[in-house]
Amino acid sequence: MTYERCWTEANLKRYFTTEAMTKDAEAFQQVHVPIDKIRVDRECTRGVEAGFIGESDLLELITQSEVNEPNRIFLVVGETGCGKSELCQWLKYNIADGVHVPILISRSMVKLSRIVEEIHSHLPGESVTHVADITEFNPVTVSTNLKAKLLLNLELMKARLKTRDWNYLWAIANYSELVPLLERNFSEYVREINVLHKERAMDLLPRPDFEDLIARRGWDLPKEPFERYFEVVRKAITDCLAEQLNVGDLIEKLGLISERYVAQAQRPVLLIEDITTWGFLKNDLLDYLFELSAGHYDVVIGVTTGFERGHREDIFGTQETMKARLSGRFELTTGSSTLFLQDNYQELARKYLRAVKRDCEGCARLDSCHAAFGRDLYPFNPAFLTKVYEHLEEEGNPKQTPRLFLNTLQQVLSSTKIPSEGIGTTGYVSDVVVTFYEAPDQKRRFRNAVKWYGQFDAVGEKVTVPEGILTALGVPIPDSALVQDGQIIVSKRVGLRPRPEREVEEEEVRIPSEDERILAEFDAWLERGDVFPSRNELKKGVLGVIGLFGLEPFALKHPGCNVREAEPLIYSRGQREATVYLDGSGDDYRYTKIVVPRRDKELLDQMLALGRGQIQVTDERVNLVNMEAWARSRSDEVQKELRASLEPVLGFNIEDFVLLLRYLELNLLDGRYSMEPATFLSPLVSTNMPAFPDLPHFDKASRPFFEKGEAVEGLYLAFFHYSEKLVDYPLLEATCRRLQELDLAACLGRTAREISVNAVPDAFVVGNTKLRELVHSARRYAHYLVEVDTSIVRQHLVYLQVLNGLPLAEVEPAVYRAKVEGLIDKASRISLTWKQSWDNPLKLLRSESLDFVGFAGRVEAICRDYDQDMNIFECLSLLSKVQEIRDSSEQKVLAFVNELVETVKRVCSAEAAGPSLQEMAEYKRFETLYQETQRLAQ
Amino acid sequence: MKDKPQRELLGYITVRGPQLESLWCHLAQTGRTSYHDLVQKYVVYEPGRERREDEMLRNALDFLHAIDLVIATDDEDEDGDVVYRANPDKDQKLPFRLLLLEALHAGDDGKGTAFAWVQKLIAEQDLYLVSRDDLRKEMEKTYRDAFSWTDEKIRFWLDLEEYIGLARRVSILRSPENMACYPSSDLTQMMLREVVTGDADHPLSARDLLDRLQARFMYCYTARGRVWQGLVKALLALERTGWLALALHADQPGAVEIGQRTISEIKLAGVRS
Repeated sequence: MTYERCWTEANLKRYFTTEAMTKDAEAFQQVHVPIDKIRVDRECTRGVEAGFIGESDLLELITQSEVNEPNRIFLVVGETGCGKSELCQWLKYNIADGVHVPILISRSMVKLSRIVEEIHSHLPGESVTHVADITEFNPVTVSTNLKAKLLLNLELMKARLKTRDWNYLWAIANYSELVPLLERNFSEYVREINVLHKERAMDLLPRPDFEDLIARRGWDLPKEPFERYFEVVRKAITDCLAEQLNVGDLIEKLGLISERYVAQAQRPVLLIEDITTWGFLKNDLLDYLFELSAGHYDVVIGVTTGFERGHREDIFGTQETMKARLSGRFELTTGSSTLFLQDNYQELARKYLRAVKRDCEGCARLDSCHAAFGRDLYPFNPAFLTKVYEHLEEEGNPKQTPRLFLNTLQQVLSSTKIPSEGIGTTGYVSDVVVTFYEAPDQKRRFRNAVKWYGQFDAVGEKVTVPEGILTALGVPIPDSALVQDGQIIVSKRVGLRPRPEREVEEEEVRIPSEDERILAEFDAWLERGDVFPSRNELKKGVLGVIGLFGLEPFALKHPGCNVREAEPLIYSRGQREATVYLDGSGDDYRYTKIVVPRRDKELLDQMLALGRGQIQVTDERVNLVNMEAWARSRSDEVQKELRASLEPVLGFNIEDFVLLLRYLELNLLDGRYSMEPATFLSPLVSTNMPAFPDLPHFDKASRPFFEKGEAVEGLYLAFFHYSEKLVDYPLLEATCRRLQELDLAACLGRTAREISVNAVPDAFVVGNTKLRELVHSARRYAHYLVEVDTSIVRQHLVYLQVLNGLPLAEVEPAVYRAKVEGLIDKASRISLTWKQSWDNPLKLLRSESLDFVGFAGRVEAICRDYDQDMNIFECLSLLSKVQEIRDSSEQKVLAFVNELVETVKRVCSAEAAGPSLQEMAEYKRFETLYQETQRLAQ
Repeated sequence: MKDKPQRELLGYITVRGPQLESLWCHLAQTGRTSYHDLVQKYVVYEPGRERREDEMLRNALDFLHAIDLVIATDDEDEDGDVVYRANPDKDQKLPFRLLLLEALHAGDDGKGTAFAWVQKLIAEQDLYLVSRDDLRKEMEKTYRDAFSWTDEKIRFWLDLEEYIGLARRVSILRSPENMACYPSSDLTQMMLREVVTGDADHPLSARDLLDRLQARFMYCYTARGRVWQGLVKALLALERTGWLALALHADQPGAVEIGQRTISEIKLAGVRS
């Protein structure tokens, strides 16, 4: 069967006109679909309670007026092509109460002369004004005249204006840029006036141009004089144009019409399809109409949404004025969609199709045609029309208006191609993307027909088309298509990624495709949460996108950290792909993963293609902004979950815990104990494990923590440093304050008793150290610190106080050295055996680096700082300093001399050449050591 | 008041966004703070060294001073010390990234505007994915006389833009492009919130909105007057999430070309219009 075009070109032209007014009355009545959904702007409308009304309600509202009532204004707002003109024309045909008289100023009256003609038709007996056609004027003449008119107006206004204002205006009028600007704008207007769907508001001096003019003139005018000057110049332009066109009395004539009708007990209803038709007179017209008492009109003004938005002040003045003076404001569109069309586009199509076709009743195919396509819808069907309606667009934006809808149908009907082919060339319908599985015998023509005429099932996997449609259109049905009960059923892909369709040759052998299998799995997972055995393909794409932006979801650290030695807290578990979780795909979720939600289909589709290496991120379909936002969002979720999995276990937030660890380390190794930012601002001085031999089991308790020192330092750098030398002071300060408020002893207690080491996720690592081990060592050390008896500190104090009592500060190292050398000399003359362990202290003594003054100062400071109530950290600090004293050269020298004296005494005593045994006991008293050393040396 | 440093902005290659933010916030909170105090707070002290290595801090403060975010004065009480404070004329409620972007966009002389030049070139040439080296060459061609363009300078530019969200490093297999230039979703949201007024009676046209964006934060148009594709992608991405709507109202003045579409109004969700 061949495609039959049972309509005529003449009928198409008669009915499918773009402007309502260009249709004859009979044709209009035949195809008019009631505009039954008009939104009422309640703020601006009086006398209507409903949210929506229909055209009849509007008619009733308009014709409720009394003859003598002042002007009543009804604003009808909507996108171009939404039916404003249709509504005005319907009102014209239906205002028939004998009182109200419609005057329709249609959109097609592009030139003012047509408006003047229409107005004169209501003024029989009045002389007809000849109106010039502005488009024939020379732009140079117009602009030069405008300047002259402006200068003349200013001359006339000179007495009324302040000198300063007049000077400014005079300078503007004479500014060399003004005439070229007016000339340019006029030429532009003339060019546009013949393009029907373009804005035709003639504004020779738009506000931005005037602003620009003033700026180029080098003035910075405040708002108040600016507005005044603008008004003066604009008024001069309008007056001049009206004069040149000979339409100056048009507004007056409107007043006259009103008076005449009232005298005949009638009332005119002015139906203005589009306010912009009035060109430069629109402001005067609006002024007249909104001066409500000036006439006795009911006025319906059609305004495009954009024009109203862009010229609100020009149209209405202030918002208050508009609300007060409007009798009603009605909207025909919402967003891109025409309200009445939403439920009526099928009916609209049906009416037009019925009108354009030849007598259907006599057609032999009538029954089969109605059965396959739907009553009167041939050559379309409901599914086709729905797709057309839903995919209507203009300049890339969705736009569901009757004009675009009908234009599209008209173009398809005008084409000799079948509709599913012809639709592709209309220009107002975005492509309906349907991806079919490969089937060698399904040609493009068949698939296009299925795509446009097909009804998709709920899931979107199957498309069903009545066999009769394809037969009527002459489209062959391939063997691979399933036919059941007169319906053709074809499988399609659910996913959104379009693949370029290709012409399949008849002889091509079908190869089972891996691509097809994976896509089917992907679709099923996405739509229904089915198992997705090939999910690693998608995961590769997900990880690729995460990597593309250098995101590290599994690394916790300061976002501004840029330190080489820093060690972020890493969550490391599972193989690469195992770090991604696809819900319901067969994955399990036992630990933190990048969760990929089953939404954002388009993105996931692209990621699957990326994962499979089928596209690159440079592909124009890939929007990196979307990708990045998606990837960051997933990464943030992981980070939040990692923190949430760790912080309750630790009992601290991570920053607090890291700083506490660093504090324990600084205290252990350097004896620092102040919880202030300054404590953390210098690196560790000591790298050796301290020895506190007097503290039982100290080494055993602290060494594991000491051995994790590198991890602690790395963590601290990762969370608090910007660079090696620069810290995040506000963060450091806030964290210190928080730990102080928590109380350090309490923090220690919490670390010692409340952290459940086994609950720390095993997957967290810091460099090569498992966090669990680090926490374990810290916990053990904290536990020790909580339990340890610090009274040992007091014992050390006794020793230090003895040292402190010695006049060490008075020791002159050179003198002391000489005296000890004397003692050694004496020793060499008795039978004393020199001990090897004395070599080092002797070397220290002879190195001339001894500083007994500093030594004494340190001893004194320790004794002074001692406080019985000091906490464990202060105690450790003290012990650390004590240890420093013990390890100092001075102390080693003193001990050596002490031992030497002892030995000399013993030998001397044995040789009966020295003090008695009783005297030797005296030497054991440390406090006399120095004096004895000195005496012996002498 | 001390004069602004004369060094070219792209020469502060050690400066990073988070450091600037930290310093700005600290100064905004504490008020006048001497350089000495800032060193004590921010710079690591190495025992045994005579002075702290404060070069990064000084660079960061000079940078903030150069772009007018902080004011520096000589302290009258202490010898030779400089006192810094946040510039009170700056909107302290604005997210720092926006403040920084605004300041970089508004550079008032050749050296100060170098940052904006790079973004201007990217917008004018409608760049989206580009290699650093190509960008450097283009800068060299267009702004040859300004100073020598080096990879360090471009990298530094990228560091700050990455922090702000106007460009980022990307690693694309088998592709020389290593930067993607577009405003991130969150940056675009912040900027639009700043320039959009929620006045339903006076909705801004798309062009007015983008003009405002261009006046305050970033170049929006290509040399041919179309909207820069980086921004187009950001707007389309936000439209996809429903955060904003791109609409074309017939006859509305101020329409712009956004990709293949003509748009007369950019409506933000939550702003009635």
